[in-house]
Amino acid sequence: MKNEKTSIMKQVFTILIALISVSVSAQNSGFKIPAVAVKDINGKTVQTDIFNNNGKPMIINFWATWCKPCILELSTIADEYEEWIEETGVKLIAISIDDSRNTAKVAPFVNGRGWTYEVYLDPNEDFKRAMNVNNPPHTFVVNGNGEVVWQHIAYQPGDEKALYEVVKKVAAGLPIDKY
Amino acid sequence: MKLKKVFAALAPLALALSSNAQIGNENTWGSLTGNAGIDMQYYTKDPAIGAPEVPDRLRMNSFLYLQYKKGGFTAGARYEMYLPKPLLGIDESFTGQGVRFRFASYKYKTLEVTAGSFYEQFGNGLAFRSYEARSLGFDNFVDGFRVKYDIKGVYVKGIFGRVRDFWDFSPGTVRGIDAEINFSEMFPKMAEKNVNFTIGGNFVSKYQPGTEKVIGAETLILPQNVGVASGRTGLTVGKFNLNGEFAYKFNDPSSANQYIYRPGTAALLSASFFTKNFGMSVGAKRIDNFDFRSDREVNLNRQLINWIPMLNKQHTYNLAASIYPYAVQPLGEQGLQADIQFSIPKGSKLGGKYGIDININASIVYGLDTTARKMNTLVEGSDSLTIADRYGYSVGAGLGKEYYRDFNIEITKKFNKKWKLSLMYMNLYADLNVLTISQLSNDPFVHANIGVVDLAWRVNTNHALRMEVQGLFTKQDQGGWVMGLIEYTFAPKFYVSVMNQYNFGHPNQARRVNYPLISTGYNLGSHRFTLAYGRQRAGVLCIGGVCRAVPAANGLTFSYVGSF
Repeated sequence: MKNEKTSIMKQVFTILIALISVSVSAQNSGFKIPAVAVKDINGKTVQTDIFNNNGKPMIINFWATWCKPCILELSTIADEYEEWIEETGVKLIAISIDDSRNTAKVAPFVNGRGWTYEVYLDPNEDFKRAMNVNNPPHTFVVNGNGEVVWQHIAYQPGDEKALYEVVKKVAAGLPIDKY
Repeated sequence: MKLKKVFAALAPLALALSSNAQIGNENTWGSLTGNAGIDMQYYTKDPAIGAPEVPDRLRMNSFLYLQYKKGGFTAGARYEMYLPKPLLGIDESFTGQGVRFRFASYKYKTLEVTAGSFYEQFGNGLAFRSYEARSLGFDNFVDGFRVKYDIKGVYVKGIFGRVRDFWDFSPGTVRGIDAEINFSEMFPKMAEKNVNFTIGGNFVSKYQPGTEKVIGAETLILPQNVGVASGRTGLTVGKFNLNGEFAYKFNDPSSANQYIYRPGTAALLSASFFTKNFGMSVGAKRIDNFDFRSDREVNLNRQLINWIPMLNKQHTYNLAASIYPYAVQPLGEQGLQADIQFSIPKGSKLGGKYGIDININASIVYGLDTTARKMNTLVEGSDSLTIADRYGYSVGAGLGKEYYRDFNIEITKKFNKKWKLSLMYMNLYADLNVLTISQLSNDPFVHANIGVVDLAWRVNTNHALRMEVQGLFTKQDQGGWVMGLIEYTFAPKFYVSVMNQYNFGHPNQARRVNYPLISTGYNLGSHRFTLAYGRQRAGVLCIGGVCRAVPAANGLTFSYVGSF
């Protein structure tokens, strides 16, 4: 029994390492944003594959009104967002995964804090699943061709600097490091 | 043995993929993406906190989801494992391993067809919602067929299938159709005037074989088909928004409602308004006998077809979120909520350079004003009751018992680039007899005050320290709690945190115990590893950047989540 357990463990870790190396080996071209229906804060349905920023980079951030680190991340970025736009033309798309318990609160929440992000609602997590997101916050950087080239989970103060470094490189068409 | 085979099959696949530079490049081979998670826990018996002896000691929940996409074609599958049993707190019926969730779908323009497993929601979910809350062990995906089609502002969805029940599927079949018309997409003039108007509706029906049920001396005639009809509307005019949904359920005697024949109703209404630096919303709901499952004989979280949203703030500070959380009462409740979010602007005298964010929220929930009918006196061998007596109860226009009340205010101020302070105060009332969220208490009508001080210090660009002190003060139930947390983060890779909770007010001296917990984590882009050791109290735990539900236990925990 013990042997079986260890061999399971071994294989689990083999798979883990393999999976991590999968993402390491991927270069600057990434997967396209899948087409999933989300709603804007006015209730209009939007297909996610039309997200674009005229060839400039985009940040797609999954968050929720109940997620403290998400709010910390988005408020921290909000303080620098205008500068980011000026320097790189980046656009941040904030995908709220709040379910219908909280969807009515999202627009007041965002505006009450003075955030100027483009916000969409994903109340049954369809887009979250299509993007393989486990827990919020989860941040993606999308290049000018609409390909996801970088992703990061969780938020710790300082992560926004690393994110912005990636955005600057993507905006300039330079290669990026995965980690 | 079976498990070994699956891993043996998966490992080379994953390795082969990793050596394939085309991964993720959709132009040639399509894209393969996925995510995975592992939660492993080593349990130690700890009578002081009521953590039982776990004979198998080490348990693991894990999953691996892979999704292949090329053009309009998508296929995906999820392997799950819960061995030798699921982590404490997750239903033991999950014990085992294998692939239940798998699907293939094709999308051509606005037509999408899915065969296999899927998640879906109609409207607010009152009639139908299938979703997954993995950390809670909740998963009610439907296995069957789904079609979605939209044309010029008309969105139609149809579903047909069976609901997941652990490693099996429900005995009942669920069929549903939903349509939503967006008038602003049909008439662009409305959109130009910043008006968005939608009307939607759906019908969901469950078929479960079985026409009779014997309870005591009576034989009930069961409806084999149970239908729910629901209508909804949404109107946005500039910065105002109004949303409502009403659903009606035909008679559905079930174990959950004690086999009554009363039809069910559910109503939700919300309104919101915002302008720059100010937003508010109000919500109301009324639920009457609206538990809807694929199998009339099951309870708890099994085989739910619909979903009823809660109507109070989703708290995240530990003591506020996880000691007396509100739980939806699908058999009957009515409530109101109001929420105001505003900021004292940047640059103003009071707001300072960064402004002040303020959230004020209040909610109150009552039972229905019910009068029980004869069935409540039903005892085995009593004289025969007629169907009419099984109507259950009648409802008056008033309020029933108060179930829950919550007022809270949260203020966040950033002083400068280094210091940020959040304060939260909450006053709550909870009737534990109704909410049954903690162990039965001899003093179940809980009035509590909760205070939180959350101070963040940005040491330098990548180093930050966060300190949290929380207190919950009550004379009822388990008495008062205090909690302290210190968390140090080194972006972008590491964090370490130390936390302690102390149940200082427990009426039983011996139960006044500490819950120390130390945890650390490592981040590698979209992969995250965490290790924690100590005592855990049941609830939602948010440390180092991510929130997750955890059961009560003592021991060592290892977690991994990753996306690729």
